[in-house]
Amino acid sequence: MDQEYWARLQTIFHRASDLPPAERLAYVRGQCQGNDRMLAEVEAMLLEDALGESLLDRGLPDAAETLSEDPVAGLAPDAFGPYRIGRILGQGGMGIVYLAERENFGGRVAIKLLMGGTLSPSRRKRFAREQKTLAQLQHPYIAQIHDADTLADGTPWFAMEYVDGLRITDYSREHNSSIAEKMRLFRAVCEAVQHAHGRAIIHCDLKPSNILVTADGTVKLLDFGIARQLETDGEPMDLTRTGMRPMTLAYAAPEQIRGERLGTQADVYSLGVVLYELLTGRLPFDLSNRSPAEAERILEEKEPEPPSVAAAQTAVKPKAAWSDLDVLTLTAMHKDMGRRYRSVEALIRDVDHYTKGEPLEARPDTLSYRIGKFAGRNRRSLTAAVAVCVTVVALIAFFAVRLTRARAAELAEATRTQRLETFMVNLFDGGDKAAGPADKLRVIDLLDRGVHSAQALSAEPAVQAEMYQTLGSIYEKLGKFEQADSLLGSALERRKSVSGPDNPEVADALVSLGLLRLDQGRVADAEKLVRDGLAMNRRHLPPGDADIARSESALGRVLEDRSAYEEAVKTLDEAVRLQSARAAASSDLAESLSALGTAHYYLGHLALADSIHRRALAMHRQLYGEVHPRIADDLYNLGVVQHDLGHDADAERYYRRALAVKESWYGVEHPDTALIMAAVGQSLIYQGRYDEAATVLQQALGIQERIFGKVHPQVAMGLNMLAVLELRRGRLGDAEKDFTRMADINRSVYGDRHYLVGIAYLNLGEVYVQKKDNARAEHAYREALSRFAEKLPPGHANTAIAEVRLGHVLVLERRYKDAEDPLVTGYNVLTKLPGSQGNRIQNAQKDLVAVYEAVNQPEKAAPYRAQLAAADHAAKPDAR
Amino acid sequence: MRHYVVESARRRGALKRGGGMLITLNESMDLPVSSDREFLALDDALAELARTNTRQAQLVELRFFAGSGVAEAAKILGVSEETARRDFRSAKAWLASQIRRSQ
Repeated sequence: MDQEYWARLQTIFHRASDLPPAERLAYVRGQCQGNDRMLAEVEAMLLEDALGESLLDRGLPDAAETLSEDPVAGLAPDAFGPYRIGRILGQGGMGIVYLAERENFGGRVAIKLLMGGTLSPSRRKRFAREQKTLAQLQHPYIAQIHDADTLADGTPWFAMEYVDGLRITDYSREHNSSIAEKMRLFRAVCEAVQHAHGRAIIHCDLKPSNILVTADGTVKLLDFGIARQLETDGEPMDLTRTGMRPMTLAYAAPEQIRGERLGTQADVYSLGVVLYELLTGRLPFDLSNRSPAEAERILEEKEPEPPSVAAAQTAVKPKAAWSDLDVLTLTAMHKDMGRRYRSVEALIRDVDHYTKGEPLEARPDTLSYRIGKFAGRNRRSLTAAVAVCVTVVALIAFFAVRLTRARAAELAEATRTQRLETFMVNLFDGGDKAAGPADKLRVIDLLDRGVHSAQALSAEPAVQAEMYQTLGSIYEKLGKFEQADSLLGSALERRKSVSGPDNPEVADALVSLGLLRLDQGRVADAEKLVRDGLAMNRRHLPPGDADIARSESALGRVLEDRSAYEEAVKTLDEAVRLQSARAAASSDLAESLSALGTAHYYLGHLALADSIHRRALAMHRQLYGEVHPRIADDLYNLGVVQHDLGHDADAERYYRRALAVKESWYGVEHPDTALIMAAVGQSLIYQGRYDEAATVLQQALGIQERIFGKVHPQVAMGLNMLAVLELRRGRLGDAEKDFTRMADINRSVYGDRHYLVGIAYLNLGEVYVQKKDNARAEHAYREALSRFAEKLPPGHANTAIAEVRLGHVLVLERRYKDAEDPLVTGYNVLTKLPGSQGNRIQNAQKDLVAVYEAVNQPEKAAPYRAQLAAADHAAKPDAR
Repeated sequence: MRHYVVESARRRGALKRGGGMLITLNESMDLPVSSDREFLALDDALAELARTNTRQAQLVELRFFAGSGVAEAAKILGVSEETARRDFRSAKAWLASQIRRSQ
């Protein structure tokens, strides 16, 4: 079809449709004279236009429904366990609801299938577990959750009480409910919400479609906690700011739209909006077709019309005593959380006061409150819109979400600004350029595409910075440090260009970059960045601010990494103090605790380290459930402590649990997985299971080298373990080579005096002893000792080990006088340590016997000889 | 987005299209054949429209596949709302007639 023809076709079409039907035919015939094709086409177009029932008229979600009409059609009968699926009840933003029956029991239930998401295996168990928790939420006004699970493909579903009722707003309209009746209904709703709050379950998505009223006037709340269930866990990426909340903007609290952490007050706000709608018949703000950013601006800047005024404008007849209703409603939906009802209880109290004609507890909003309370809080308002967008990327990235078209339309709905819409369209319209397998969408491809689109946002640097920051941290968590580096670096630059070089946003970027440096093994850089960030935060934020605490925590981790443990403990204690004051359990606090536990571990405070790590584990379980990378880290830390206590079998158990978690979360090619794999290998070595150990360690080292390159602290650790194994098996050449390499890496990363370099020397010493090169062995042990003395606290196991080994070499050299001191010192410490320390103590005893006999002090030798009486093992060299 | 929708239709028809981004659907779905054909027909027609007037085809994609409102679509494409409205109407009518013809 050529352009001229098409243009002509359209002209005729438009003119014709403007004409009254009687004249149309004649006009068209006249215009198309002689051109049968054109005539036929115009007529067909006019017909379609008049009918308005084509695929295109139906709109995509509807059309999509015909494509995906019945997702359950092809499923096995027992795909939903004991429930047999019946007809579709409805379709909402989050999923499809079916009527179902429970086999053998009869009774109707509603089954909601959460389309648009599949859960990874690790996530599924958690989903089921959480639903069981929700199932315990029992209240006459809450639709009971009966069951929950996932289909074979990971699609979550849950079975709940079937509620046959109308939306509360529709119900009250159809029944012409009086104000008293409306307040009765509303109070019932509040009771239900209060009950759930008492069990720490926030709804997050209260709106009339979730609040039904049955024919007998009973209120039923639906979908409790579901919104929370769909939130990602906040790990590996901090999504508290960017959690995906499938919410309707109209009922969402300002803090919710901003993507901040939610509390029960968010539900209070939603209740307020529902009340407003009940009383006036309309919504306080028109947020249709608004992006979250615009919505947020409207909510922050505009005041709603008092219900009494709004009601006067609609059909609802205002009553006399509206002023109290005004105060009640407006206080419930106050945008300032400080002015809003603190809890649903407080709201209920005032509802009761109103009903009884008593004065309310809430005070009307006076001018003084309204003036400039929010002056300083503009920091992140722009990011809300971006947050939704970036969250999509993140969600897709982590759960490989399979999008239905309904979801796509919903997402398009949620991102209404021009650029973001284009972003979304581009995101889905992969076209023929997508790399990777033709069949599936790869996480990393989508991330890359996200970056590409972010680059197009150069006109809005603040938005772009936010996206870079978020994408950068995702890459970091995936172990892709190069991309993370460039993104986080760019984020920093953008933030500087937006608001200058000295503000909390830049500080945030500095700290993030610093933590990346830590991951990359560039400790000196890490410290500088984190310190700069912390100082900057201190300059701008009030003391005790969460960001300050977070920066302190980051600093603590950096200090710990460069073995400044005492300092690390001080900093981390402070961070823990600040963070516990804010919340009993939070991911930030748990992170600080883990770091604190590690610092204490290095200081040799094993019992304290154990208890702190347990506390962190419990907190992480509470926050994230059973399978989560942080859980794995805690398990690993606990394993390490057990090892130091000499319980290697227990350590192995911990490590294997941790490995299982990490593998299921990250996959095998990931630094974290490799690290824990190496730990498993280490524990196998200590139990003498060398062949198993070798396999595991080789695998781990391979992963680490592929990810980190050849010079990285973690590669050094892997080498260490491998070399220990080689030593045990007598492969001295390999062991020497690998220990030396390990020493070189640690030296170049941490500096020559670092204790890990000392460890390398300690282990090399063992190699030389076995090679019978005592001179080198002695040198190596002395090198180790000098570093340990500098860096480790007195009474540390490693120092003691180095001392007795030095003593041993000296004994081999027959330098008995020289040998006495290190042997005695080391021995005394070793005997006080928990665990049997393998053969070390016996070897030391033997050496001490030899020493005292040689210097003719048999009385000193006696106690040691006595202790040896029972044991008769051949001396085996022990390396750490 | 559009590719995605059409791909699922083509799969049902056991036709293969090389490359392209696919977000896989739940394989177990059993789709009524007629609407598959409709989507295929739409895709072909849209492709033809794109050859004649790219912007108009994009307009349809935005309105139909991305669910844009008129104002948005107009803004994205850089035309007036009135133009967007008109163009969509005639495009829609023509595409619908093409779909009907193929049934």
